[in-house]
Amino acid sequence: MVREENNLKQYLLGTLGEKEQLVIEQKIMLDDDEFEQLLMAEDELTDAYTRQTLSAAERLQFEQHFLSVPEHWQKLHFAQALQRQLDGAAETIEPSQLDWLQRLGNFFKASYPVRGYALSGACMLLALGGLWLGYQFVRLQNEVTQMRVQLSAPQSAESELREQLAVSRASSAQLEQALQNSQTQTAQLEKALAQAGQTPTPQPSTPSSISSVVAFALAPGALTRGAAASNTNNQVAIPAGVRAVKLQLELEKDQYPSYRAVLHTQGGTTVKSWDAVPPQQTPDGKRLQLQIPVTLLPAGSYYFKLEGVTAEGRTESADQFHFRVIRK
Amino acid sequence: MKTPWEINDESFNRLLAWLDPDPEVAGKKYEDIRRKLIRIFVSRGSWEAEDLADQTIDRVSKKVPDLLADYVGDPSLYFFGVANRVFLEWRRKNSLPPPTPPPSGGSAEEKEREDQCLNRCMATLPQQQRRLLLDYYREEKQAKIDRRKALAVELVLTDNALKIKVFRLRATLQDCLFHCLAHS
Repeated sequence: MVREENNLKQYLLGTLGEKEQLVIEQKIMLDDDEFEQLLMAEDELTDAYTRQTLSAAERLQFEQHFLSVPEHWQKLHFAQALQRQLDGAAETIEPSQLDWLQRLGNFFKASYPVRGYALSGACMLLALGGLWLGYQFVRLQNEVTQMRVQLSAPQSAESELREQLAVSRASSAQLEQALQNSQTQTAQLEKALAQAGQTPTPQPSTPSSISSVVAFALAPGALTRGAAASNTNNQVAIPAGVRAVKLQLELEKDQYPSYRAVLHTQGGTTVKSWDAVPPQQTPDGKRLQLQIPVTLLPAGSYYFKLEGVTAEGRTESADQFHFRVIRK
Repeated sequence: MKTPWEINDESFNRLLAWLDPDPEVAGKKYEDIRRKLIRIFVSRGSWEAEDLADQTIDRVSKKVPDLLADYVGDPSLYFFGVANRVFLEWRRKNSLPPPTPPPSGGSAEEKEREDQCLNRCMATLPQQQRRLLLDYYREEKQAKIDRRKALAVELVLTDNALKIKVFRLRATLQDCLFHCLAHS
C-alpha cells in the first residue's frame, strides 16, 4: 500500500520510469478505484507542498512538473485556503465570537482615546455592579426555596403515601378481576373437554405467521475489519422462510432527484442494478428503498455502489454501502 | 493547439454501441474514459488535456467499424493505446513552454475572497462533517496518523473507507469554493 502510494507520488511528480508509468495508467483506465486513488494522491501531494513537508528535490519537481498544468493551480489554491482554515480553527474562539469581540475592540479603538478610556471604565463598573447584584439575587432566591421546602415537606410526604395506597388498591382490584376471568375460562375449557372426550394437541406454526419480507437500514461506508465477530452494523440477518429483503439506504446528503444503485458481491460481481430510484422521506431522513429476492443473497459480503442522477441526466458517484448477509 | 471536434452523431452512436449495448451504461463508460484520459494527460504535464482526450476519442470513433470485427478486450485499453500516440505527437509538435504558474499564494485580496468563500462553503456542511474534515487534516506526522486511526475507529470505518469519505467531502468543498469564487 505504502509502495503504491509512493509510486503514485512519483508518477504525479513526473519522476517515475516510463514502464512503471504505463502500468499505473493502465490500472487507472481499467479500475475506478485506482482512478480515485490517483485523485486522492493529488490532494495529498498538494497538501504536503502547502505544509512544506516535501523534500527540496520534490518541491522543485512539484513546481516544475505538477504546477505546469492550470488544473493543478486550482488544487493548490484550495489546499492553501483549507490550510488557512485549519490554522484558524486551531484557535479556541469560534469565528462568530471573534467577529463580535473584534467589533467591540474596534469600537474602543476609535479615534478618540479619551472616550475609549471613559467607556472602558464605565463598562467595567457596570460589569462589577451587575456581578454583585446577580450574586445577591441568587443568594436570596436560594434562601426562599429552602424555606418553602421546609414548609411543604410534611404535606408532600402524606400526599405521596396516599397516592401509593391508591395505586396498590387499583392493582389489587385488577388482579382479582384477572383471577376471576381465568377461573371462568378454565371451567369452560374443562366443560368442552368433557364433551369432546379428548385432549387438545398444539397446532404447528404456519408459514403465514412469518413475514415474507424483512427490512434493514444500511448506513453508508464500509464494514470494519473483523466486523463479523464484534459489530452488527450493516449486518443483514435473514430468517428462514423469508422470500425478499427490503434494504433502506440512508442518504447522508440528498442532492439528486434520483439514483442508480448497483449491488455487487465483495469480489466485484454485479448481482442486480436499479435505475432512476427516487429518494423517500422518512422520519430519520431521506432513504432509498430497494427490494431483493433472497435467492440473490446467499450468505456473504456485498456492497452497493450508488450514483446520483442529476436533473440533466448525468450520473455522479454518490456513495457506497457495505454489508454482510447472514442466514439464520 | 485547438483541434475542431470532428465526431458526428452517427459515429458517436456507433462508438457508444461498441462500449456497451445498453445506451445508459455506454454513456457512463464514455464519460469515465474521457475523464480518465484527461487526468492522464494532465498528469503527464499537458496543459491541453481536454483537447487531447477529445482527439483520442475522435480517432477511436473512426476505427469503430474495424474494431467491431477484430478487437478483443476492454475498450479502455484501446483508448489508452491511441492516447499514447496522441500525446507523443503533441509533445513533438509543442515547443512552447508551459503556462507560468501564478505567484504562490496569490494576493491578499484574493486570499481574503477565498477565505470568505471557504467559510461560506464550510457553513453549508453538517457540523459532523465539518468536524471530520478539520480533524482529519489536523496535526503532523505521527500525531496525524494516530488521529486518523482514532477517527476511523470512532466512525466504525476502515482506514481506506475514511480516506475515501474525506476525499469526497473535500471534493464537494472544492467545487463549492470555485463555484462561490466564480459567482462572487
